[in-house]
Amino acid sequence: MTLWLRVRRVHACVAVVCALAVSLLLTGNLALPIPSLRFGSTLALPFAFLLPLAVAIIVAYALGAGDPRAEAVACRPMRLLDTAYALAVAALALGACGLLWVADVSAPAPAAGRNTLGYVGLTLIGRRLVGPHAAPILLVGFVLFTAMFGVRPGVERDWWAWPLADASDSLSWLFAGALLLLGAAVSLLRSDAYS
Amino acid sequence: MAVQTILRISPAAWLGPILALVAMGYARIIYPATYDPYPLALTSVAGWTVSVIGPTVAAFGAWEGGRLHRAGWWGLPHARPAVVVAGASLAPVLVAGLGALGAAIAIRFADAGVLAWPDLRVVGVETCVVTAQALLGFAIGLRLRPVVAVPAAFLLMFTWMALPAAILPVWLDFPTGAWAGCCAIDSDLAPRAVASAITVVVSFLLAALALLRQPFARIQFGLASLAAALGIATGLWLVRGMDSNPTVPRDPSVLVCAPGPPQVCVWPEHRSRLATAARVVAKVAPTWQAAGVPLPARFSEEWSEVLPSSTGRVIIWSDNEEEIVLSLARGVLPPVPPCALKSEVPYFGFESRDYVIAWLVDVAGLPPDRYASTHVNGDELLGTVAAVRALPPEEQRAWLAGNLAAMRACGVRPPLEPTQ
Repeated sequence: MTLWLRVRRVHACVAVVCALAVSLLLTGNLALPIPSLRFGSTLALPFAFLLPLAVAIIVAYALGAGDPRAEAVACRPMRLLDTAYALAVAALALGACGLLWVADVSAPAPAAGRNTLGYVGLTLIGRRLVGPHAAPILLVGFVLFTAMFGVRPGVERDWWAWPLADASDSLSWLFAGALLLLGAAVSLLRSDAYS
Repeated sequence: MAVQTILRISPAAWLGPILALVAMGYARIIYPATYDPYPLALTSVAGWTVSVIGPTVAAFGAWEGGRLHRAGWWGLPHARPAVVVAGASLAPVLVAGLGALGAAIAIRFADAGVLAWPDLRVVGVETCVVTAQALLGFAIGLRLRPVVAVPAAFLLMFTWMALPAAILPVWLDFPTGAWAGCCAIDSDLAPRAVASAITVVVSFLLAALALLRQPFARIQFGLASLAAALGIATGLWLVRGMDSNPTVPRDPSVLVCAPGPPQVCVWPEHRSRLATAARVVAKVAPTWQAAGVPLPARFSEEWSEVLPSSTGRVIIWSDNEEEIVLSLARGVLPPVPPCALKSEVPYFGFESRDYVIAWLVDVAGLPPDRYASTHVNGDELLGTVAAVRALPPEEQRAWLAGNLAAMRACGVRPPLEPTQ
């Protein structure tokens, strides 16, 4: 298992989660201007909503870092281990965000934690849909699409633009959790990486 | 590379039209520095779309670099120079990026109904920004796995383009090359901002070359980061302390003037209003002169830190005669002295300005409430102006002279009410 963890870049994953926590501390409520084409103006997108992308990208990198041919004939349940690994990294990030929130040092930390769950879920789904190389691209594209088209005049945001929601929005947590579970399910059923 | 091959394998070819549409949509929603048909302002606003185009071409470039990474091609001996190979891979990426930039500029000019060449300095800088980010993305793609390289290239470049715009001071944003604040009609693009953006572009190109160099060692990541960091630091140093916009006063030699006295000078974009402005000046100048108003030798739209006292600064916003009188009335007033911005000695001239403008408007024969009605204490203004106008001409002159003196220097109390 030590070798497997090393191949799955466990140090890099933990480092990125730590970097996420530090970045949340440093950036606070910083928001980046991004074009909101439907709203007809620039949207101030909280940086904290983008930072969890790093966790999802490192998970995608870690899951694809092994030798698919060798792992396809491994006696250990690789699909189960990989899925558990992705969930564990997501849980670690959520825990780090939760700690920041409990310590009352980062207001957007809960939303960042929620987005980490959803982004990791989308990455797992993307690995199945578009392959391991392009999965994070699909994710970044979704977040960009959400920022550009998820907000319109008179409406705070559309229901599907859950990454833009406040942490108090329970439906957004439901979306993020559902995506993570769906991602875990498709990852368990079959993964193109081993075919 | 054959066009058919590009269309078959290149995401830049597939997504280029979508990028162009997004850039066009973005260019239409950014507020310009001016609504005048000023080509520099229109080009700058459209050029702000590089904050999206740049990161996208970096991601496209990373994908193209990823092909060579997966094939292990870059480290193999090859007949064609590396630059030619990179150029062939990046050609569709650059076409997509520069095409999107061109589409953004075209839609902005079309919306404004302006048929003119875009400002070549802005176009040149934005072209360099797009090219540098595409090449840097390509280099990142060549050295990292595509699963990390493509999103990392996008997010790094997006953060670089967007983050400085989100923090203060404002000039942190100028080295990115995205200058939506450029330029009001009386201002021009600051050469320091151009130099700053070009410095960052050169540093990105050096960072890309550091990553492309063979044989590859991990230290090259450090060298590339160092090159980019030094370039950004130098770019920031070049624009340190600049005002809220990357601008300098516009060259007054392009002003179009009508003979006086007083002469009236407007920017070429306001040429169609010049005849009306000259007619209004010819009408109100004798009236004001007769009332004892010291007139400047010329009214001009030029802007500079220190205008000669013989020039009254005006902006001819429209060809509406009443608007022009209001603008001329403001141009008659002396400029705010530098001491007004310091707190050592109180400056009372700001209080005088509204009263004197309302009086000038009344003297010019406009309805007395033309200026006062738009003012928060309009009734008070109207009452004061009526009281001043009821005075004999000599006392009106004394009232005016007292208020103008308060505007010219600090610590001088103006006689706002005629009874004071």
